[in-house]
Amino acid sequence: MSWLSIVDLKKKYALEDMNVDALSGIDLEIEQGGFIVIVGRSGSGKTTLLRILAGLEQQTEGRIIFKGRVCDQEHPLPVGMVFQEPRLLPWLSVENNILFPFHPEDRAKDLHSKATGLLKMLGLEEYGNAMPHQLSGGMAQRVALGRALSCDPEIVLLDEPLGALDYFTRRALQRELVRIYLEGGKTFLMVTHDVGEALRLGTRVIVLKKGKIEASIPIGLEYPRDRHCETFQALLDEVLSALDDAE
Amino acid sequence: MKFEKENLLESGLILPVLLLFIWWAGSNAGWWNAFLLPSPEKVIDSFVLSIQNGELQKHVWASLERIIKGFGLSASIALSLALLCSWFPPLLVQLEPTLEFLRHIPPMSVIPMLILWFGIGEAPKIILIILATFFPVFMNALQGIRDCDPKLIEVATVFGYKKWHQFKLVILPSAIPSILTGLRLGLGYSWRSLVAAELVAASSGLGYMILDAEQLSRSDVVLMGIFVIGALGAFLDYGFLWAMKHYLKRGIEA
Repeated sequence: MSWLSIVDLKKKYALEDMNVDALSGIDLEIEQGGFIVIVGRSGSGKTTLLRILAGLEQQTEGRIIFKGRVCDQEHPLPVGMVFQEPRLLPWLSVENNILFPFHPEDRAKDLHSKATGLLKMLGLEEYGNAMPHQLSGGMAQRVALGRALSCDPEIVLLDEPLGALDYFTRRALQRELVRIYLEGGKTFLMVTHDVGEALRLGTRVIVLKKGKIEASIPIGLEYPRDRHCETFQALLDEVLSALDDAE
Repeated sequence: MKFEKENLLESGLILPVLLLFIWWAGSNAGWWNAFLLPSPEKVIDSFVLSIQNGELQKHVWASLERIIKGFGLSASIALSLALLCSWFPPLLVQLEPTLEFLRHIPPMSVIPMLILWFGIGEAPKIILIILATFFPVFMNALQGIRDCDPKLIEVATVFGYKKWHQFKLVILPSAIPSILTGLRLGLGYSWRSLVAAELVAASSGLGYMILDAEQLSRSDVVLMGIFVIGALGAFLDYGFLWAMKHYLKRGIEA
């Protein structure tokens, strides 16, 4: 029995008088502790897939089975999610944003040490009392990552979390993501349109084409990855070619 | 020196000081009839006298009591209804045409009917304040709740919060600035409508004090009453603004 199975997942949107297939039958087995990166062109359905896994949208057909149990609204996947924008609550301090997944009545003192630990891990130990508007884009996204990790989810969903950042912040956060992934032993499921990023981060790259899986490419490279090495270039070509075929 | 000049320019005191000076100079030079516009000294004298004999405190308290009751009731009704309407949209659909009709009726126009139905006691004055303050509080609260960024609600959904907690932890805090703006506007409206009500039917309050002074041809007391109303209104507004800033600065740490 696999850890997380996505079985014949379909999603149709009603657009005026026609139905649009965002996902047309996704079958995917996800191994525990993997860093799965989903790439695809705009409109390929990658974000829709992630939103269904996060419980933000309901699939039209198909099932998500986690540890042998079918997930639904009553039994959602144990996820933490980072969106493309940080989406921090502007009226809460950085520390309280990180602790947002906990009910206010549960935010007892022992959670303060949890938040402090996360802030330290993210290099933001000085900013616990800062408000979101005082942070740079990269810092805010780190807080969003801390929020996703604070409730200790088994699966971390990342919806193009570095898409809005500049090159250098993006590279720095990619390295941090790898570090957190290697330290935490959680399963990461990330969506990106940047193939280089997918290869630098993922243990497996899934290529989506018009709502279907075009290719599933294991990346057997050690971290940190050298993008100039032959294997990296060969994998890059393979992913790009799968994407090209997807046209 | 430069610093002091800048301070003066930023203080907003130039216009009132200039007007006060013209008023004082004109009164002393006899540029106008002292009955039409009594001198500042005379207005200050009547202010001091009415404090000494306790009249002013009595009227101020009567007006403030009506504000507290009317505005308190109005804000409670408007906020509760806005919350209910946002929680249960069909209620708003049903109420909207009626509210839209009522919103365009100037509260002062219903004074004769209020007196007819409720007499000249406290009830019509309180109802008038409710009518005048309900809409700014209700509309702002409703708008604030509606304007909550759906992306923030999604964050709460991802972390497993159900509807009630989404409302309590995300929608309501995000609507607080708008709710406070509505309350501030409502407070200003309550003050204006109250004085109008007291001008028509009352035996106490600042509006009554002004009307009584008019009948006794005491323009100095009329002016004094106007200044007290303006000062009290501004004081309440500043107080509210201060509390609002203090609250927002602290953050709404749920």
